[in-house]
Amino acid sequence: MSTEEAPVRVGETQDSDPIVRDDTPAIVLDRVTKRFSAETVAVNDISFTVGKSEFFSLLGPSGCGKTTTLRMLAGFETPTSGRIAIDGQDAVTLPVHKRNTNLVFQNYALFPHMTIQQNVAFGPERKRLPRKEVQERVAEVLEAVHLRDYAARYPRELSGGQQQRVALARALANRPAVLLLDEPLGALDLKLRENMQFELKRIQREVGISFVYVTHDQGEALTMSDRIAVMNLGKVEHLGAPEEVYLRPKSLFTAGFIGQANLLPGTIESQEASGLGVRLTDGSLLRAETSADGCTVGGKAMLMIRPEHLRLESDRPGDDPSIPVRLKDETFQGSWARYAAETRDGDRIVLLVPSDARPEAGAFEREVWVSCTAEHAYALPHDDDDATAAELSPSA
Amino acid sequence: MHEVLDREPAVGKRSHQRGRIIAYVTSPVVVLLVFFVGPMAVLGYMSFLKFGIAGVGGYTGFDNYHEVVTDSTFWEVLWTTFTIATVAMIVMLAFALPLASVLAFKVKRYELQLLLLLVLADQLNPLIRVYAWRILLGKNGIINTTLEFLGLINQPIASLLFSKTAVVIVTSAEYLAIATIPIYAALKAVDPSMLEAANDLGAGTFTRYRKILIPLAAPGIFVALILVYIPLFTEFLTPALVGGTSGFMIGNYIEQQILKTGNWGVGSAMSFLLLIFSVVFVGIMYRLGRIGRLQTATTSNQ
Repeated sequence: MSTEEAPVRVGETQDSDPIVRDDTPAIVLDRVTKRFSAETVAVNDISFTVGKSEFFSLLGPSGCGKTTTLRMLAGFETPTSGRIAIDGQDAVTLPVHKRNTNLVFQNYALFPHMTIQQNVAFGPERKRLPRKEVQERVAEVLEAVHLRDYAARYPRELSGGQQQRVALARALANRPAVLLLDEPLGALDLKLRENMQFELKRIQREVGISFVYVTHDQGEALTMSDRIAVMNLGKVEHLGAPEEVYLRPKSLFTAGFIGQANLLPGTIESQEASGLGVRLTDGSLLRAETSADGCTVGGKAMLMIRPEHLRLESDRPGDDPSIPVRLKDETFQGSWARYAAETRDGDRIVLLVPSDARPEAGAFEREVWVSCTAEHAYALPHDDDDATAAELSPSA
Repeated sequence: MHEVLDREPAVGKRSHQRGRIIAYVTSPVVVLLVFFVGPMAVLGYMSFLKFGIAGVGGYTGFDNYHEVVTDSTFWEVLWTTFTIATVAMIVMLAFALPLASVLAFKVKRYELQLLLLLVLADQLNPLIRVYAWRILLGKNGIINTTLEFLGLINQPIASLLFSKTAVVIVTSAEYLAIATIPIYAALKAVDPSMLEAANDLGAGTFTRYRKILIPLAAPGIFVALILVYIPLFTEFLTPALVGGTSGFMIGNYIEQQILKTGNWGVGSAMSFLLLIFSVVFVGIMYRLGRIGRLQTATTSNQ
């Protein structure tokens, strides 16, 4: 995939040809594999490019290879095979301290024996910049993260959120071509995390460099990224813009991992320009306007419907496509109420209903119907005996 | 605890428990009194007695101490001891630091085995070890013959054995294990992501040591130094066997006073002075350690 998108000019001198240099992406990964031993493949033949000033996220569950990928970019791990170019420069054998990347560590890794000033100045000082310039850079990045007044303090005197911003400032002070972030918001509480997401995005726009952001939190990835690479078992499952990954996932894994999704098994009965007709295992027929590649009439499919797109009906809604279910559980969540329901086949369905449209208590005693318009249903091809579907269905 | 005991003094179980607590607290105190403070008190007492050829001659006040501090040989030997111990410590540290960091960070698989090996090497009988060094350092020893064979020297280096150099070499090797282990522990306690962060920010190996690892491991390194410096200072077996006349240390001087001259009084006074020096030294090191840490915290900006 990367080969058609970008010319990899590994090992060539770029200075003679400034135009080519300008076009080189910030990062090129070409068929990169990392094995830790014969049996464990952390990263399995992945390729992608990251553009200059792109906010790129590596998203996946723990053990999917996202952190290993990031550590290969930082230089802490060497790929078993494949090529990596950073800023047009071959980076497979480049030592960590000579790379034009900087990493924001998950636990911040601030130097406890140095002040904030000294922490941030550490990188520029290693570059042997004149003292005055070091001071200017430190002031500049501390200003960017709103911590100028804290320069003389020690890390332990700062709150978690402040330490996180120092870690960011310290990495930015080196003016890297690419900033690598390893779940940097993981240790913060929810409110702070949401604020920091906007901060990160703002800073990324201001400095205009590429960010490669590792996270297992799909909400974070969706909020901030220009593009997301969804990873699973060392492979990239889907690479695309947040809307695409969310609305039109290429694989069942992506569908289940990004956001909440009901995945209902069925068979494709008809295929027309307006969409697909999918017969679910309990016999009900639903229509899906869009579908992933590989759906054919007669083939097995999974119907993906987001919980917020399902409507709850007390009575059978005429001839409109709907599924008869029994409500099992209700969780009040403020503006929404969340219901767990079960089809006649025993498949679980989760739906979100606006609080003011909650059904009367009697709805739990009898069968009710859930419906979904064709534009909100999305079909994915699905092989037989695919156990992942059951695992991926949202749990109550 | 007190409150409970006061309220129910008659309950047998509680008083039994109390007895156990007292036993726990007092037993180490008793051990220390019998085996540690006792001999020292005897030594202290003897340092105020007069010992002559005729035997013990009674209380003499501070005469022994006066004799020691006015003895120019004592000060000369003390100075030799100080230089040998200090140089040996520096030499040893130059080996112990890299050794400890290799153990802590580089060898991943056999870390425990190697550590155990280090401890075992330390358990070797010191007498045997010193004799082994004599074979290595002797005029026709392995080192000299090898150097000659390689054509690096024309004639054997005579001063390898029976010299200050010999004492420095042997003692620094002797305490290598004792110093390496606390340094290893101190390095191991440093969060590896600190080193990765420094590396990521552009620091090479040397800078990572200088700016991150050593400042963070400083307390442990100081413990190692104190642990080693005191036995180094009072070393007496090694200088006796490989020191000759120039590598004569304070331990040997005390031994001479007591065993050869039979002057327990002066020997005891010397020992006590040495003890006082040691306490002062530990105090200074402790202060230095604190100041060192504060300095790395405030001036690493340069």
